[in-house]
Amino acid sequence: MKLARDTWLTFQYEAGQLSRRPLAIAIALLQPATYLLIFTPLLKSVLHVSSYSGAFRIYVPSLFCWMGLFSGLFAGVTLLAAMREGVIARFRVTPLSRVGLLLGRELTYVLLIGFQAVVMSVLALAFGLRVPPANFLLALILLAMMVLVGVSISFALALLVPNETAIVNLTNGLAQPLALLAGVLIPLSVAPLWVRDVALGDPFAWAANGMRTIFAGHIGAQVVWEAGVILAGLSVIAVVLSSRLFAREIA
Amino acid sequence: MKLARDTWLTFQYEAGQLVHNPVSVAVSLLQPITYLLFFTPFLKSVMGASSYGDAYRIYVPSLFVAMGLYSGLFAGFALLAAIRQGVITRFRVTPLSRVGLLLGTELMWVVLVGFQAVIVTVVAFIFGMRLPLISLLLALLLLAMMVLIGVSLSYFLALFVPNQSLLGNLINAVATPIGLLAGILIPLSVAPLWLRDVALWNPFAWAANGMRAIFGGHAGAQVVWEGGVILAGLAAMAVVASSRLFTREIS
Repeated sequence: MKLARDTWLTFQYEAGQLSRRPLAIAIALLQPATYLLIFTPLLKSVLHVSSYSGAFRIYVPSLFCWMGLFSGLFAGVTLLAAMREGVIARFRVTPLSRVGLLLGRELTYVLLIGFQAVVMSVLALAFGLRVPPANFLLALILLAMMVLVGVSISFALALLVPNETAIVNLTNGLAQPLALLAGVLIPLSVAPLWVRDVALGDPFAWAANGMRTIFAGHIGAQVVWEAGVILAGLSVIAVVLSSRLFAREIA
Repeated sequence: MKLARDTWLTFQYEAGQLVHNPVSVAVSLLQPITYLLFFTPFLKSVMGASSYGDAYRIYVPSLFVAMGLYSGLFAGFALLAAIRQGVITRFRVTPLSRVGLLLGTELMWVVLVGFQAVIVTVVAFIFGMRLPLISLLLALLLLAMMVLIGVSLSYFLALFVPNQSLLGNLINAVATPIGLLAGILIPLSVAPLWLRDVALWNPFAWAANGMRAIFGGHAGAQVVWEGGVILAGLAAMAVVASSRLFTREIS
């Protein structure tokens, strides 16, 4: 109960901080929007999709995975900045639970990325994407779990390696191969067999497959549930481990 | 004469800093190598390349353009860090010419990215790409001009927007559409006609076409000279404009 309340309090504070910087939120939308508008036509040609609607159905789920994965990259850097500026130290003297402090921050990222995903979907909708609301909600749930995994890993890295340049390089070095192997640019379905075999070890590849199946309209397909179970398990492990580490390092 | 000497002195200093930090040089290689290893197989499938040698002949020139373009991203950050740490201030009290200070640093970036390009080529060579030495030298020449443009542009932005996180987003917002419209992920040759029309206004698209022609074995093709002339003109303009701004803002 106290944990839920502390999480909510932290979330309110962080979300409030975020909403006071609408320019930063808008600028963060530029990169995914650029990919959505310029990369989709290229993908449409190269995959021989007949309509833009079909092309967006292939690329939007990839973009969701991309955003989920790389959100982590910024999260760790932001945590480091908050530690350096003494924000975390000031929270430490309050009776707030340490885990609540971490979970509230993670929820803020879930909200932020969820918002970006909605904006991207609306943009794609204007260019012909059609997806039933239930499928879209399910996709957002998968995305939320991906963000939890990404942010938790990034927080853990930031606590273990408190150096900004090192953390950016490390996260990039981890996220790029995971993302490429998940087929966030060109779908895995057209990749050579050996790449698909390697990708079996990449949980985000399972997530991307599930996500793409949802957008294709097969909400009950086995791959969707597989993705959901893998992500749920991973996000529980990641959140528990990172909050333990956070409680130990910060308290 | 004095300018050349000052440029050389600054270059020596900056290159020395780089040599003392081999880990960061190695880490900067991670991202291009990741794309080289994990993106080329995807491209091979969708572009219908018959061998990995052919696939690398398509992708390595794209990667060169990406490296030339994005090198700017890091250059602006490094300049901001140097200003914040007082490195630039300490140089100001020396009789070094301001333009030499800028040119020396830009040359250091040219050498660094050139080194990365050579490593990328060696890795691609191991996986089957074959290229005459003279073509590689010509490609490196085009790359050097791209780096000059990218770094100048980035310094320009860094001097105008001396805020790290805003600068990162801004440079991304500039570089991403330029990069995608130059076909650094999927070549423009397969793009829809309207996208190719838009790309006619993108100098880096011309550079990418020239680069790809060089790797395709047509080093004497018209598109190579067009790319070279466009880049040379732009590089001269960018260097002059950024050194003027630098002289005004720094001294």
